[in-house]
Amino acid sequence: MTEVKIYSFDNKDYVLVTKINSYLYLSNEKDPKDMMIRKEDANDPCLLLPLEDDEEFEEALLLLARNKLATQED
Amino acid sequence: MAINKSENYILDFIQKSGGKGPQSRVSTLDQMEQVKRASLDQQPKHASVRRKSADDNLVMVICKHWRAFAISMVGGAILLACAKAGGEAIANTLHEANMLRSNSTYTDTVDAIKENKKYIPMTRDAVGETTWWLDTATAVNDVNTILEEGGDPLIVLGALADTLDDSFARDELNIIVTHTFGEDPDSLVQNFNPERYNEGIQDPDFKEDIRNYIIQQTEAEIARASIDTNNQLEAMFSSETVATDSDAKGMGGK
Repeated sequence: MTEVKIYSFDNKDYVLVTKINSYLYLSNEKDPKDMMIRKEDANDPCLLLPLEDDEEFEEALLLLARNKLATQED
Repeated sequence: MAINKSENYILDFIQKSGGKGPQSRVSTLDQMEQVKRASLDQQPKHASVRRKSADDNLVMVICKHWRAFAISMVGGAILLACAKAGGEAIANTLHEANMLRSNSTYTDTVDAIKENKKYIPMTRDAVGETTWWLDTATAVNDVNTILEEGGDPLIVLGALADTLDDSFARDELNIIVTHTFGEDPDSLVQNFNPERYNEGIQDPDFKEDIRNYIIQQTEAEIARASIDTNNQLEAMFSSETVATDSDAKGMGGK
């Protein structure tokens, strides 16, 4: 067993795969193909903001590709 | 490596190659659209956060999905940008060998394969070398550890392609790449750029581009380390100067 951080919203539990800068990489616990990238609000870590646009989505993907894929934030 | 993010080069690259590639490219494109929609199109979400224990297999499956997704989306675009930047660095074979040896992710991956080769005593192949078999399960664990500790997935993939490039090592390469990146090595590399890397992981263009990429990354790391050292020396020198100045002032004051 591995200890993971879970973000629950919309009646779904998302596993935090990794956190890079303020980006959270999340996967649905019940459906691992249901994946998303969200931004943590600087003032409220429980508020998950959507990414701004395609450019920010690419930037977040690029960060992920070049960083470790840990199972939880350090 | 210069990357112009404003050109939306990753999405551009994926969309341009999407219609021409194998079937798996279409599903990758669909998945990218789904992830993008979920990441961009919704309102802020208030989440409750907690920790819990999860099954190791589930965690492994989730990580593999992300790793395969990220490397499929970004790897090809990075290599294409690298190929466009030119291959001047690899013109010098000695420089290339030095850069590969200096890259810790590359050497760790090569070592992960070497250390898990089990030589069979009293056997010789056609050229007189002792034959071996590879403990792929342990090699997969070792390669995953390199990635989890921050190793660049493209460099790991390039090192695996270099180390297991013999035709008789094909099965071992397949097992390790499939268990690490969630896709077989040829499909994974063809997905990067179906036209340029049509021969898969041993395509000469892929091997040249990835070596070029490793060299550029290593040169950048060395340059960064050199700047850090210079800054440290400069800071040390400045603080010594300050100390000397204040000493002198102190002495003068008495």
